Amino acid sequence: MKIYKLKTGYAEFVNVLLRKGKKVVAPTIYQNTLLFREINSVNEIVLPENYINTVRSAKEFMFPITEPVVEFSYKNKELQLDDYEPEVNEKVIIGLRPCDAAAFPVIDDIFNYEYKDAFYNKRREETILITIACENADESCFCTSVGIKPDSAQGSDILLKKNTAGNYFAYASSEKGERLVNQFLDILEEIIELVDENPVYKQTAEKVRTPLELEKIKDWLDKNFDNPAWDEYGARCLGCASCAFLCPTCHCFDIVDEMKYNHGLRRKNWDACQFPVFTLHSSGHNPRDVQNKRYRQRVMHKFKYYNDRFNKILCTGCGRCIRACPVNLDIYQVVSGITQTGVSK
Amino acid sequence: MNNIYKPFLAKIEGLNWETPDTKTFKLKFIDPEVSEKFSFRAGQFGEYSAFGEGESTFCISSSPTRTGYIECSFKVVGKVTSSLNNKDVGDVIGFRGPYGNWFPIEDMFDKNLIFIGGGIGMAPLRSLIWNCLDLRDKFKDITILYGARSVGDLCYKNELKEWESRSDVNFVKTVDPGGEDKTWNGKIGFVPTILNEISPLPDTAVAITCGPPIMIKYVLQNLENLGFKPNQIVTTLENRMKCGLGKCGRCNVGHTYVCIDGPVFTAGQLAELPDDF
Repeated sequence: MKIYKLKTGYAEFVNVLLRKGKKVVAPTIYQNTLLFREINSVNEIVLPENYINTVRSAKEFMFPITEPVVEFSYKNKELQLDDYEPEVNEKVIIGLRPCDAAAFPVIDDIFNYEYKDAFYNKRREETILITIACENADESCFCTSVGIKPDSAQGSDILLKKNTAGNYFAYASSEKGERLVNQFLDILEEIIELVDENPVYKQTAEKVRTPLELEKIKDWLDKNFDNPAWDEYGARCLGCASCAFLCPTCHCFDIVDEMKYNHGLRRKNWDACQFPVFTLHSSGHNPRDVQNKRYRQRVMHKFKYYNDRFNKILCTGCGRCIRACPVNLDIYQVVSGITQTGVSK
Repeated sequence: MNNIYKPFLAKIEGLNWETPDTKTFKLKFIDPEVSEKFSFRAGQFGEYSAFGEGESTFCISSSPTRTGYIECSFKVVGKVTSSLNNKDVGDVIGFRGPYGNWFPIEDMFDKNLIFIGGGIGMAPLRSLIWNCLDLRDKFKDITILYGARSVGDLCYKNELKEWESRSDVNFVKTVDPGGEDKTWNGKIGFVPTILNEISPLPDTAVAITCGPPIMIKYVLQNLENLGFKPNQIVTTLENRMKCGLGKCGRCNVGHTYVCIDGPVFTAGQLAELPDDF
């Protein structure tokens, strides 16, 4: 991994990206909410010192909330199927946290095993992720539980990190990152010597929740598909799916047709396993007919099923599901609690 | 760009009402190249689209030995199937597939086959039955037990007559008590009960079953009581699907995706799955 010293501050770096004609996506305040959006001016960004994390993760830039996948129309009553190509431009997402960047290598697997989702892959190829290491954490963060650290580079193309003196350094952690760096050598200076470790990252790692015992959790989940604990969580869970929509690794979707006059689009929309109709058969039968089963599916998918199939945990410890849950159902407490008592505290 | 969500276009070449609410379409791909290259195995399924309404999942109910077309049978229940129902011969629908695994037909060579079907569950079995009948020499005795709620609910009525008249097929039909009419000459009783009456021998036999979940449950129990080993019983599962590609996340039973790892499972494999279907 090559390391470069930034000759400018963070904001000026964003400014240079914009000046050189890059499409830049960064955390901005939109309707009182901190969200990733495409920016036109550096004045729109929120500086990393001022946020723990955005409300929604960065996954929507690879896997949009809604996107057309097939286009069709009727011309003189004759059905025509068009070759739908998504408009994808090269863009830079800057200011995402290591937990969001780490989500992409995890969901790359689901979008590429057996059948390759070209919509996801095209966006993935055209997007450069510039991650910013965390100098702070809140009470919901638990990244160290799932193999991520406040200054991890996994999934990032470039990781921005400070040295003790407070200067930013860019760690180019992929070929894509290297290529971007090479276009900005006027503001980036390659350095050979090691950068001194800023203790703030270690301190942040200590601020996040105590690491989970993943093996113990997996072992419990392997044996406890049927357990009264699920009934308790099911009774609390409202099934609103806020957790799934904010999660950087949740990837379930629906396929829906929309038609106006004689033109139609088939769309891929975000969906969630917490909704009763998600698995409802047309016969009326529903394999996951009550919230207990749907909540169990969520926990099992994250910590067991995905692990069984891809040897990865479908969670990056970003804590969004904990912050957003209207009934304070806390997945960290759930999985740490079940291994001890069978039921969470 | 290789778009995995893009369907092939297929023209409805023929249609047949199987029951008052179940229809069969005979489909031919419009693109001659697709038509020529397309191949599938009995047991596989596809996503059929009524453009403007959406997609539905059905198996391919025709046999892979009959090339140049595919057939599907569906019950008119929801938005997509209602829209498909409104289509006529000559209309165009979409098809993505074939998806999923298939019946292990090579493992059934030189064995006695017992097909046990219920209602619309006959559709995937029909694909395999014709596949086997077209390669009749490769199998020993073939028994088909087919039941439905009532006489009117039996699908593929013309083909049932053909199977009944063939000397190389032992065909047994039944309807649930109360479902018979004046002309009914078959059995009266639930499929699992009639299965016990026939009592097929488990030696060098394979049982293939599909039907409503409650029927499958008791058929599996009765087969095991008759001495069938779990790996001698093959069934096909169905779950709600959207993508059919192992991505959209709704058809899983435990870590098993019905669309990728199934829909065909042996009773042994089913027993390993958590009770989530």
